[in-house]
Amino acid sequence: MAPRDTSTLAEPMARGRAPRVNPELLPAAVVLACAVLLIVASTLLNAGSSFVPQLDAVLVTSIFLVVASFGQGLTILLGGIDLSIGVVVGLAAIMVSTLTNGSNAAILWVVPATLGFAAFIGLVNGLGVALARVPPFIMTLASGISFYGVGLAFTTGLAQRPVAPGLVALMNARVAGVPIPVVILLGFVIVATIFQNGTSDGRKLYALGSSPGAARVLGLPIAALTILVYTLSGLCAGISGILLAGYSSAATIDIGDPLLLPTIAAVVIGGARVVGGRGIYLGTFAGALFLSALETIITVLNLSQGVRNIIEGAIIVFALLLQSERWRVARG
Amino acid sequence: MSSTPPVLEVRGISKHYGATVALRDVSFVLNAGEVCGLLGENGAGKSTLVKTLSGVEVPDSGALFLAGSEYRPRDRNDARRQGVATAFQELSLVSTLSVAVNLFLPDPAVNRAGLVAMRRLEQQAARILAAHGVSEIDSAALVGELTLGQRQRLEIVRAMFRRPRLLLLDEPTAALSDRDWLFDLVGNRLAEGAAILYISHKLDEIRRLCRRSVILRNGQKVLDRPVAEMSDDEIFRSMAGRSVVERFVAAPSAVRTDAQPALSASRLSGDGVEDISFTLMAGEILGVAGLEGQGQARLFRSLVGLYPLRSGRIEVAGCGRMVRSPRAARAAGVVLVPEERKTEGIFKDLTTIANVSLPAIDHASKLHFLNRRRERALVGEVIGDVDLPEHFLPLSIAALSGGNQQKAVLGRALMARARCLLLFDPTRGVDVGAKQSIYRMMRAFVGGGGAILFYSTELDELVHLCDRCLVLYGNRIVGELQGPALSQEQVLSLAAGHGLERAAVSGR
Repeated sequence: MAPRDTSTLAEPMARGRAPRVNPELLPAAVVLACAVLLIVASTLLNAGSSFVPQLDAVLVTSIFLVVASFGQGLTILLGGIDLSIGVVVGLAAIMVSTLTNGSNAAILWVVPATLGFAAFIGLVNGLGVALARVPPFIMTLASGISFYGVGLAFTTGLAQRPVAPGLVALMNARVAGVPIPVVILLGFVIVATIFQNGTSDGRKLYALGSSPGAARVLGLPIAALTILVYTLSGLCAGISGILLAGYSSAATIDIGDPLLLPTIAAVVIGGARVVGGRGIYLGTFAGALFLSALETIITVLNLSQGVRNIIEGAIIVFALLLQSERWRVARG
Repeated sequence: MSSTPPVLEVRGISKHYGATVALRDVSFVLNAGEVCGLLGENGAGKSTLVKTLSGVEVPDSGALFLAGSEYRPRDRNDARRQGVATAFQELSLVSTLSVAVNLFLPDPAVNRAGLVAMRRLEQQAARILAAHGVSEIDSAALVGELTLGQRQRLEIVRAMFRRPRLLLLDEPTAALSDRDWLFDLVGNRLAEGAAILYISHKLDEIRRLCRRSVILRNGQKVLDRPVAEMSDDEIFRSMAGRSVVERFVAAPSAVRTDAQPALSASRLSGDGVEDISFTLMAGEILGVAGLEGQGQARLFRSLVGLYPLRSGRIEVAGCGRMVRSPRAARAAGVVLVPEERKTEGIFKDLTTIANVSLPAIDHASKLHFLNRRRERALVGEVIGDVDLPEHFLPLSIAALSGGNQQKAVLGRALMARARCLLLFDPTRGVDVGAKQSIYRMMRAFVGGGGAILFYSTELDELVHLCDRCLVLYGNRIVGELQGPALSQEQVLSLAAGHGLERAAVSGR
């Protein structure tokens, strides 16, 4: 018998399976295509509009979700969740409007202070999850409620104050015909993708999310990585809140609440595994865009809020079903 | 009489997963009162065959016959109703439920209100366990609290107690140190006329239990013959498709007595670790032997700070401080290759290359940005030492066989620049070829001045590879063997606690 390489012989399962592209790009691409189709459909339904302005409009309104769901995606990658995102978005928005109070000069210190506060809430979440071992959904829910209380105490009785006109202008300005929020959005997506898939920290996050037990035996800095992720999630929610304040030119404390569940939905629709270890930000981005496009078309069709919720819920369930099917095949 | 149909007839079954063939036209028969061995390297199709017989997978073509009539199990429960029970290698127990509930899954007896009468269930379970010679497992305990060996016993008892016509045992001794217990049970079932398919990597078990053996290679049956007619070498050759000239390469000891010890433990005590002291020299392979549950798992974990100790000192060469976490251990050059490869060894969603490069990932990046070419080069330096073929690197590690996964885990330990390896049963569930690679890697590692603490459930490995061997019993070291005294008989006798009795007698 001719000697052969037994290691290849012993592994019929593995042959011919070397993926040339990241297999997770597939769901992302499909969802992105669906989002584009929805935008095309809403253009056709809305007489007198054309594709590019419609696309711009969807991109601009999606930015809050796109930014906030990056943080959500990271916590889900670690098998956790961040339920404080809605509150942090609202607190950041009200902080920006209250502290700037219509003055552009104040932006310079208010924006960093707001981001710092948002990151601080995330840090508290991270410390609770990583060091006190509080389950993430309890920790983030509890801190969200508590900080909401703090925000309420500070703002009760205050008249609503206008957001600095500079921020409002930023959200409505264009460079070379492209809305500035779209530029910010694309920049954010690129930076976030590089962080998650192109750095050693991102690699460690995938490792930790995939096998916490192995991460412990190998001695990965589990606590530091967990704290980093929740802090980033708070920071993203803060950015989202500031942008939202600029966009709506006035803020209320619960302005971010409707954003919380869509951040989770965007991550799930984008193909990330709900219990951690898998998922790319491009998928989450596609999911967020899809949800925004869906919202646009629902508005165009004049459907009620109830119908909208039903459709969104059905899509999340559908995405989860697709997921379980795909993994059954992938695991053989 | 001659017309009695066999208990099982497998007729030309094939199974494909996508483009890959897991089973190709496999046929054989199994008679009542017979144990038939099923041998093959990892990935040869053994597990697929077991899944097909136990109703987990449906074959693409071919047919199965049970006592002459066609057998097409819809699922595992249907297979069990028809008298086919399986003890899976991957232990199909639910860790959050109690031993009793697991034993009777999926249909525990219910009372008239449709509720499970827990007390009665536990009493029944305790009776069944006792009838199968298992006394140390509390039927009310959660499965998650059991050791791997206890879980394996439970899995086996669960398959056996319903008196199946056909019993499939998939690597039943992988986590078992008391094999005679299993052999006795197998004998009882045979006497009752059951047919047993016994899947194992361990040739001595096949020789002891089976008269006949089927060998699979690459999804095909290559041999179906009485075991006694074949030499070890012939069997290995059929499995691997090549000749394994010798299983253990004799090598001179590499122990460096002049250097300071690589690792020394003095008077370690904690829950399940009693007063353990030893010294591991550079260049030494120090064996640890013991029946299951004698404190070896806790000892290994405590050495890297994964298990808290009450007292004692662990000194690592070149490290002044006491090691209190796996991170500190890795920094001091001590790396544990743990028992549970699936949950603590591999990162299941990562590619093989990412699994290996992880400890050096910061070296492979500049300012935190990954440099994939550099990562590839770093990994390339170690995969040769563990015989991990390069073309596996871009694959998900979950797609690899157990043997290649273990090579990747060992490669990662080398990547971490370990000077001292703590290997906990590294060859469990690993095929013959990969075992040879692991032995070679261990030899090379100590040859280069490294040190290895090596626990194994396979005595021949300990005897052939180790310079010295510690024997644990009742969480203590009860003996240290070396040179000619290091024999399987000696190790077994000490591990069974005989040394203790003798010491007690002579002390009186």
